[in-house]
Amino acid sequence: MKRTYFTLLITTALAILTLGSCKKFLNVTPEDKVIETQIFSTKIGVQTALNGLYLSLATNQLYGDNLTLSTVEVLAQRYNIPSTHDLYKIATYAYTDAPASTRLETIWTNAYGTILNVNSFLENIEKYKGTVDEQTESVFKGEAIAMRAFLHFDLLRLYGPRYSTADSTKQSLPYYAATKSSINPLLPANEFIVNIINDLNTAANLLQNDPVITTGVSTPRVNETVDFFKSNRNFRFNYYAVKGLLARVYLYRGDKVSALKNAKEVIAVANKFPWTTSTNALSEKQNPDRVFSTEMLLGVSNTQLYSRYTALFDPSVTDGTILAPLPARLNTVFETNENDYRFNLNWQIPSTGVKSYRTFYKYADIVDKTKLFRFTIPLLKISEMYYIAAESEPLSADGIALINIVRANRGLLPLATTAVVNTELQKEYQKEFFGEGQLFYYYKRRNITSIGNGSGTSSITVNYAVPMPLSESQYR
Amino acid sequence: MIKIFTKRSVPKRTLLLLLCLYLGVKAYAQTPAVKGVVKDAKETIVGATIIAQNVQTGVRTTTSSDKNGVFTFVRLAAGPYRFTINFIGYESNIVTGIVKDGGTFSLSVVLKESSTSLDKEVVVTGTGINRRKDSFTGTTAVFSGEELKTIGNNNIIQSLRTLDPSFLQIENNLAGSNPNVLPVIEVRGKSSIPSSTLKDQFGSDPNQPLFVLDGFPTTLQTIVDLDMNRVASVTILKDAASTALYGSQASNGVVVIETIKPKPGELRFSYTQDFRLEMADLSAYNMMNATEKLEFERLSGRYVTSEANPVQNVYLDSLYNAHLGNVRKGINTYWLNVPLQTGYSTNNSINASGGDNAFIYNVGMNYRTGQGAMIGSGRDTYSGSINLNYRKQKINVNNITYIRGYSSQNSQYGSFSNFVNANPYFRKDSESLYLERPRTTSGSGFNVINPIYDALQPQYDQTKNSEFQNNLNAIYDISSAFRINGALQITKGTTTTKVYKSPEMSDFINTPTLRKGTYSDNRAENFSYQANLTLSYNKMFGQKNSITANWRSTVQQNKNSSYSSKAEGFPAGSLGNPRFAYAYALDGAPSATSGIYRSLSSAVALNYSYANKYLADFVFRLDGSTAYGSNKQYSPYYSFGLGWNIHNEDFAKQASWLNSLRLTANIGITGNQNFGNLSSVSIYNYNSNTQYNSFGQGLSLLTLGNPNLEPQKTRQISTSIEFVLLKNRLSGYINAYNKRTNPLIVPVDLPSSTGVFAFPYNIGSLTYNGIETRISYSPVYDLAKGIVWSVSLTGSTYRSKYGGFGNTLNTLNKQQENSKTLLRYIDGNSAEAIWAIKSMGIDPATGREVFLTKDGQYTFDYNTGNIVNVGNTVPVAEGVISTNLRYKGFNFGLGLRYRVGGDIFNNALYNKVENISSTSIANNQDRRALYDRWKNPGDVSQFKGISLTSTTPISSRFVQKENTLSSETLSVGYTFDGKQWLRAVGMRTLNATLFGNDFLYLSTVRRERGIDYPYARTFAFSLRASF
Repeated sequence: MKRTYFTLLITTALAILTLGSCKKFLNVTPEDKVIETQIFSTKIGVQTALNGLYLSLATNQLYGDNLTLSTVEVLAQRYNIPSTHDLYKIATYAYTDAPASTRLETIWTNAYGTILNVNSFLENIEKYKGTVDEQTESVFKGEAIAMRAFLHFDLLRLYGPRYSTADSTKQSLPYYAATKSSINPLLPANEFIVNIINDLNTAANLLQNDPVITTGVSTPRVNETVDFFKSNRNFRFNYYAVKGLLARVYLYRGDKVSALKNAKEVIAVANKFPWTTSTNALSEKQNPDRVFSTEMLLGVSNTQLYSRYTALFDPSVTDGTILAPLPARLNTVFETNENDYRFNLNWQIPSTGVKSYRTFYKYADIVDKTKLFRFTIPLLKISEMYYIAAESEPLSADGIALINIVRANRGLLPLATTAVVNTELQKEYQKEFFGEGQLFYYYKRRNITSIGNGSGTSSITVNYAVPMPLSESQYR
Repeated sequence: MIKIFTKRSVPKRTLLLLLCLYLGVKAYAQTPAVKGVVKDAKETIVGATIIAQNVQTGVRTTTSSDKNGVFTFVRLAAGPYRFTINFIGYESNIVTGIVKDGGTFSLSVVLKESSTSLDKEVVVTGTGINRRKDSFTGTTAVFSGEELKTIGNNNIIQSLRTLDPSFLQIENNLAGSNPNVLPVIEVRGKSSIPSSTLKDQFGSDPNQPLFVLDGFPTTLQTIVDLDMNRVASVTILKDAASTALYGSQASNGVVVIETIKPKPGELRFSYTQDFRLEMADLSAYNMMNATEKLEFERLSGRYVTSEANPVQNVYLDSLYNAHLGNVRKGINTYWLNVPLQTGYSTNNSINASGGDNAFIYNVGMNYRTGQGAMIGSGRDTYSGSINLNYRKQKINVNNITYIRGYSSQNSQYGSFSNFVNANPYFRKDSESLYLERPRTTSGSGFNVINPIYDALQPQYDQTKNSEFQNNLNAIYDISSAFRINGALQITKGTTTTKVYKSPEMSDFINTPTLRKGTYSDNRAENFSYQANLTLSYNKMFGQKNSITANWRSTVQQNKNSSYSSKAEGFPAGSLGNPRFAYAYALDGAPSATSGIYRSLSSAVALNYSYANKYLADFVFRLDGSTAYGSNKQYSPYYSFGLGWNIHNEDFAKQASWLNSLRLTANIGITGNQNFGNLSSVSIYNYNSNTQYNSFGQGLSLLTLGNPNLEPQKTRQISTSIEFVLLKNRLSGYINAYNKRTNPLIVPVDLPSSTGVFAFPYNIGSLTYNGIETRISYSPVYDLAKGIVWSVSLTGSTYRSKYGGFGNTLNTLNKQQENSKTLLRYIDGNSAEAIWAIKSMGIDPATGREVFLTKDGQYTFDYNTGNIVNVGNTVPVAEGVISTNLRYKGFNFGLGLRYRVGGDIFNNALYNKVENISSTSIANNQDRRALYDRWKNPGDVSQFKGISLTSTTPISSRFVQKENTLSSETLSVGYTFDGKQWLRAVGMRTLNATLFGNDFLYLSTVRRERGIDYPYARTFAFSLRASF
């Protein structure tokens, strides 16, 4: 019997020992998948995760194409869209018809999908605290929070109600500031915009030590190593980009005082974002910087850009599918002024003779493939700061003076001080942001309901009520 | 390990038959002696162990039989004794008697070979914890290998479905009798939503029962390929009390398979030959002949055009005339039999065993080679096993080594439907790629591809698998009450699939030259180990209280990995050696997967019985696994059951008509773990290879994990009444159950603003209520004359109901709607419901279909909002009626499956009578498309206008009530035993049996069965000889 008990004892002890190591046994790290713990426990991992956010921003579904080159520009009647064109339903504001509904669905799901990624990044950097040093963590968090605000803001501008009063209470969209599997309510527009402003302010605070403040944009030279923290700050949500976004958001809300304050803050350091040169715009034939990347506060890099160009704008694209404006419309926009860098550089009749009209060259590739400004799509430029400030200045003459600064750097003569600020700004928005997706939002903010029809000589009434996609609305 | 329980589990009934006990009184010495002899049916047994235990004092004495089979206990204290006689390969025997002072007690014990017939009174749970059925409260069904082989000789799955009413093989109408497609099996309905999103590559069907082979969980593939001649018994564990020992793997039921254990003695071996013939059953097809087809094409408007285009008109006229010319020439090709052959398979199985009392061995081998009913499809399997058993005193060590594998080929003829669709007015021709090419360039003709041409090009689609497995099991008897048992299994296997398509095939008509022809290569490896340790306790207290307790812990790891790559571009005529490929697939990257699944469990099982009348069972198991939420790694499972053996009550013992009557009821919670790994962890992925920026690569969230994901739990309440009446002539059982899975795990798409798709969510419930029965009666039961005739009936039915979804599954339902399926997930409705719009039939005036809206209006307009539950595929009753006649060596069996009252969506009507688009008019169609469709105003027809080529939506018009009767088995056999001529050739027994399976199928619904691969009728022959 004694032996029996001894055996029992051994067995029990063995069992307890085994149970102790159970937790470890059941924590399996898969080899063919990348999981949270692996990523956020190394510095490289955190950087890759943050870069993943920027890459999803730059996809064709979002700012790589839909929200810059094509869909939102078509909403603003930029191009001549025949009825056989894939974007025809967008151009005619038939939002619920396919394929328009699919495009709008894609933008929505990808934007919110990226927001989920942002929130998950923020939660994980908090959960795995200490993987990166404090300053880096602060900057990374600031960037991510700013991206969250940026995406929500563009969703509001696209799908939200017209923000007609300073404090619009119209029902808008859900705001997600955490990863969850529960459904957030639809917020009134004013609450939604407060969330955006709060996020941007938080981001600005976290970005107090942003290297852009001390060392500027730091575009690396060819073959120079890219420092994830310091280099190419204009491709990241840097401190000034956040300030610029604040100016944009405040103006959208109708808070001109705050808009002016923030815009001026950026204008004060405008030397960090130098204007493009006439050499680049008018003489450089081989490798011009067509997007004026030096002026950029914020941009994305889409490695698919030139294949998008080939599909959308290239002269070889057939008349039925190319995105190009009617020649008369284009001439009206640029007032047929060949001195305008934006017109001269980016709009040409193809030398190959395949098209009789000017096509859009802004996103055409250049000869020198080592240039670092290739693949760039600007999202926020210093010029917009001047426009925001101009619109917000209480005195019209001050506004015209600000617009004239931009005009001077676009090869144009100054306007008379008697010019009407808003009329001139509308023209400027039309010229400045071709293929950058800002014009539709400008119209929507200014409640301009009738605009020139991109596909004809008449006017068209814009429908600003872009509906929530079906994948969202069927739960609401 | 099984032994200790087998010992105690020999029922009294058997004992009385086997045992002769005589007491003699001899004045001898003061201390009483007990003497006896141990025999089997023929001779005395040497080396049997005899344990004498004094029932009062518990003192045990052991001895063994000598070379004459004689044993003696020289000194035993007086008192009541229980003598247990053991010998390996034989059933244990227990004899009780009172030993008096001064008396001599003599015994003659006849042992029965344990494997010649299965002991049905033991419930093998596969865990090493075996139960006497008489004291167990769970619902189980036990079938011996012999029984399975009386149904058929293909595989045990085919036989089990005939024998047990709750074991259902779900019809796979696409795959038919394809030997390389695994059957879909359910025991007592489903326990989860059928969904592919939560299943990873290595997961199995979430509604499939767990298969346990010789004590370790295994795959369905292994079971299907298992040589039936190696099977000793199959036990189906259906309810919570019997399956709770398997905890998180148990909610779909457990099927426990035990292979034949080695027997000691001289070398003996047996040989079995199973030969099968398979012939495609095309009786369900009702295709047009050439004349009918052309007439149908004319009526449906294939040769007229609405455009005023003379060129087109001339072309269509000439096309019609060409076809008419073919018909006039008498071309009427029957394409259906082109890809078919008479399939066959032959299985050679050989088995040898022998050894002495301490060391026994068994070596088995089989090789089966077979061809399916479609040319080129085939499956070869082989297996070998070495089973070694060593036993000395308290130690028993058993080691089984298996090597097994298969090689399978898919038919080069591809899908059978290509031949069903081929037009009868074209001549069979193997030379050209096209049967017909359009003669104008206007694009209005169809390139008709010759289905034979592709099959004649060099190609292959083959899979090879080999697996090595070792099971080690050791038992140590610590004392008479305690026993410890440890087991370890290691499995390693590889599977390679290679598919080659030659550049000449029609797939590559529009492919650039350098990309014509593909070769893909997929290699998968698996390695797993499983180990368990069981501590058992078993004791009688007093005469009436019996307690059994077991503590069992298991640990398991499965590791899978696969790698696949694809090459393309082959020179014409290449036979498919990848050496000749031009390049890897354009923009193709190799794909690789790997997964580790681990689990731990610890279970306690208690059983108490009082005087064998009142029984109680309790099982508790704690399970940990990598499959669930990181916050909920462990989950408990339990069961509790009660039973009452009425036949052991005093009042029942007087009723001579009552042999056995038992009532049991139990409740328990079990789980379902057949899900993929890691639903609980957030998974990231590198942005695709085209996405990068100056900072390099990026990572994005691929799936958001749910760390709070709870395992699916199924609560099952079961009751059962089992009876044996009228001197064993009438026997049967009725089981009823309620099975409720709550919560389910469902991949839910939330509103897109959450960014979360296919998020594994605990939501909703699925409830099954069902009943199953088996009643068997023997009108003739004369053992003395060796004639037994029995008739039996099995039946089962169930109803299911979803609950608790609310509108959370709207997107899932929307997806079902978009992909035009018949499934919906809606509260209060059955999981087997058919969802479609209600049809009021065809309007005789216009030939258009009239629908019923939800508010009772008639409409021509199809609106998905009007889709309702229009039927249920579960029959009111399904089962098998069978009869068996045995007269001495002669045996006859017949089993017919009936299925009454289920609804079915008739795909033949939907796809081949209606929904014939303008392009598919060129395919051959069901005859009813010509004869039964509306033609003229006033026709009262079931099907819409013959010239309408528009899409017909899924409607209740295609849902039909189906009653079927199918012949699952017919067997005729004879066993020669102990005949003089047998001995002359060294044989002991010889059995020959003829089988017919699935040779008849009667249905009230005419629909196509076996779309991609036809169903086959099987005729088989088995020859078994033992030497």
